[in-house]
Amino acid sequence: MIMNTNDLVANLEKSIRENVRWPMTIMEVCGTHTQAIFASGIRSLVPKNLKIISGPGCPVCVTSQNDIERMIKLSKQNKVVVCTFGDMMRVPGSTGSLSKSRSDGADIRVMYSPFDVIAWARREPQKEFILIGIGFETTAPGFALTIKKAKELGIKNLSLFSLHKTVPEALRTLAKSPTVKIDGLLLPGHVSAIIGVKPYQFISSEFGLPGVISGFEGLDILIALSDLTRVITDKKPIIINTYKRIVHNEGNIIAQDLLANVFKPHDAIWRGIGVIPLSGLTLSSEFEDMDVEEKFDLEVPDCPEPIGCRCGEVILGAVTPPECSLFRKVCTPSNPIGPCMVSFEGTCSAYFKYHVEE
Amino acid sequence: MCLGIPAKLVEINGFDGVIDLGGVLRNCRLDMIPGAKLGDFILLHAGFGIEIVDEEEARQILETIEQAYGGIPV
Amino acid sequence: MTDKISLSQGGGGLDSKQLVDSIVKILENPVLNAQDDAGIVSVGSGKIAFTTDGFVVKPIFFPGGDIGKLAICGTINDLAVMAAKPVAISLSLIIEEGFSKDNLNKIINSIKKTAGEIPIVAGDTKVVEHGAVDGIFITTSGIGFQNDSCQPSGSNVMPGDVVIVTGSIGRHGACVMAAREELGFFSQIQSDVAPLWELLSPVFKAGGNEIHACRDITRGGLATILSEFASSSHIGFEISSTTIPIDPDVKGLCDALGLDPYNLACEGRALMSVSKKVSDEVLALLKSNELGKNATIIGLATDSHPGMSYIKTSIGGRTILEPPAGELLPRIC
Repeated sequence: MIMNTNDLVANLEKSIRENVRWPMTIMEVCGTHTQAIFASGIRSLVPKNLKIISGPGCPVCVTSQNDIERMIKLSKQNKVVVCTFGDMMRVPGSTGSLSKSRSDGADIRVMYSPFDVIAWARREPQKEFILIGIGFETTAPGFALTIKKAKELGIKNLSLFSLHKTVPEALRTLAKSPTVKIDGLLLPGHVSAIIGVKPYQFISSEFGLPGVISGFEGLDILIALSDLTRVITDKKPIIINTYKRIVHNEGNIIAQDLLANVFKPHDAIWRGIGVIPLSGLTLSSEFEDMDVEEKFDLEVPDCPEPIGCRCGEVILGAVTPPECSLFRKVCTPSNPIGPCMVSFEGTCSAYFKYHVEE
Repeated sequence: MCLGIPAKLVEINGFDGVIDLGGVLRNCRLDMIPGAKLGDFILLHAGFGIEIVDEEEARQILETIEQAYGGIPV
Repeated sequence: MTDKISLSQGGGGLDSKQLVDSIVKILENPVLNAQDDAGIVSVGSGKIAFTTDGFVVKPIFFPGGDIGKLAICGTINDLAVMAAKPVAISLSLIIEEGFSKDNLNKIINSIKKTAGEIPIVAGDTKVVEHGAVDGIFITTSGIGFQNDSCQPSGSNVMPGDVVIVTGSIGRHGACVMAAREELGFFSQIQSDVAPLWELLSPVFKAGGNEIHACRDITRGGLATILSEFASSSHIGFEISSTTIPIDPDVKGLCDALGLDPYNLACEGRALMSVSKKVSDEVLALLKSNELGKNATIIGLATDSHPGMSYIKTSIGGRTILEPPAGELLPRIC
């Protein structure tokens, strides 16, 4: 028996209203959730004393200025083709952006899948094809597979600039932070498809915080919020998976094996947060020769953050975009100062697009 | 961070597959989901199938909600 | 602020508006200030609609059409939506040296076929050195007769108006995006490029001045046109997302690439804001034509939030519908 959607939604709204008996703050970690929550109009359906803040789950937003400058430097090298997701094109570094480099003549190509670049590299053996590896555990296995395949095929003109990061370590930093006050976490459904449920257990066992793994449809998020607000009210710090049609308890073992084989953890700089130990992925020794750092000098001058930019605090949920003095006045999607505005999933971009004032 | 959408698997050649998104076709890699069969819906992310959509769970979710929240069948 | 024009200013969204506004500000005259799809100029006792448009589409040949068909439809439609019967078109070609003569013939024949009864009465051809343009750029201009009984304008939307779209949205934008080889999608999303005069003229005849506004949905998509109407008319819109017709293949592509179908171009669709008195009749007339068979009422105009468009989502939530800022890029993250 299938329930009529309107009734379903009404019941979920009622349940959330009943659960939120006092002001609660939940953090949605994933940039795709930030976008989906706004686009589905969920903020208009939940009670005012349920505050939903955004976390650091936007891979573009947490890429450091230095790393963006290094991408730009790479793009200026001779006979190099920089292959990137569209997300990264307009992010401003301190000297420009990939988009600007392309206007200046650099060969920068937007890819949908890194796997396609294998064929591109074969077609143009005289050029070095550099993959810009951004994304969390959802995306990194695909890059791992690409590198593995390229090596098997003996392709010498393909390398990876890995800026991949992993989520659980960032959640640990959040949970430990004295400035971030949250009652529960909405956990990323597709990262979870890869890593499973277990890596989140520490959130409840060590920090007493509940977390709910959620899908991305409006209905999925309502269901997750209903469960999350319930366990917050009941003071039950547990991790729940509501995205069972995609997320298995153990995750995707093959993808995890790919990550373990092709990458190894290393310390990574998260923009606005700083170094989070062992939260980044770099190529393992077997695949080192495909690491862009082995082929190119990536030294760049240290880049200060733009004056007044508070992206770092925004991605931690410590401030909301309207609290940044640049928001909307100077920093807009047409003239982004920091990555939170330029990324489609960035909190500032979402707040701007959806006219959120607080 | 993770734009993944369900896509119907319409062709399999080893680890190369073709998915159908409402009539739009694309190649994809199936290395991470070797058990995928023709007609399955897979979660497509950046040209890779990263999970098979569990149809039973997808259907069940609605029944569960109905039970938990006192649904009105139509 | 940069001192150079950026690619995003060609995308049809907010960045483009900024560029156009800056140019209009310099040129400044009452006709241009209205920024309607065609300028209306009084000639004797009549009104002439005059429009121009440039076409730089890549690829030049795409499923459902080519740059020639697009160039003619674009100009016919800019006249058509002003309720001006297209009378004559001019054609200007800027061709890169080395361009295939065969392709040029194909394009000219497509222009001839699309223009039909409407004569191409003037033209110009330039050939430039390799690299100065990308293949071929086309500019068309057109004139049409507008009569007093129907003079739609983006600044005429009234509270209570019914908002109608003449068919499914985003096809042309999706077609062109899907045709980008580096994204790897293979399929035939057909462009919706089509001339609108035959579809719209019976509607103007029947509705007269109850047809308050009409615009063809091109670059920047549905969201952009709503924003333009809202801004020019100082009214708001309440739109229902579940009523907006989007074809499954367009939706599939948008979902995969993280694109918003409300931001994608059409080239054979119009958005109309009409008085409630005639909305049923308008809908019936549109649906009786093959091109308008999927015409739908998608919302209402309101005076409660001037300048803002709100959309009701599939789960009954309410959120703002904004035009895109600039260049539409596929995304993964």
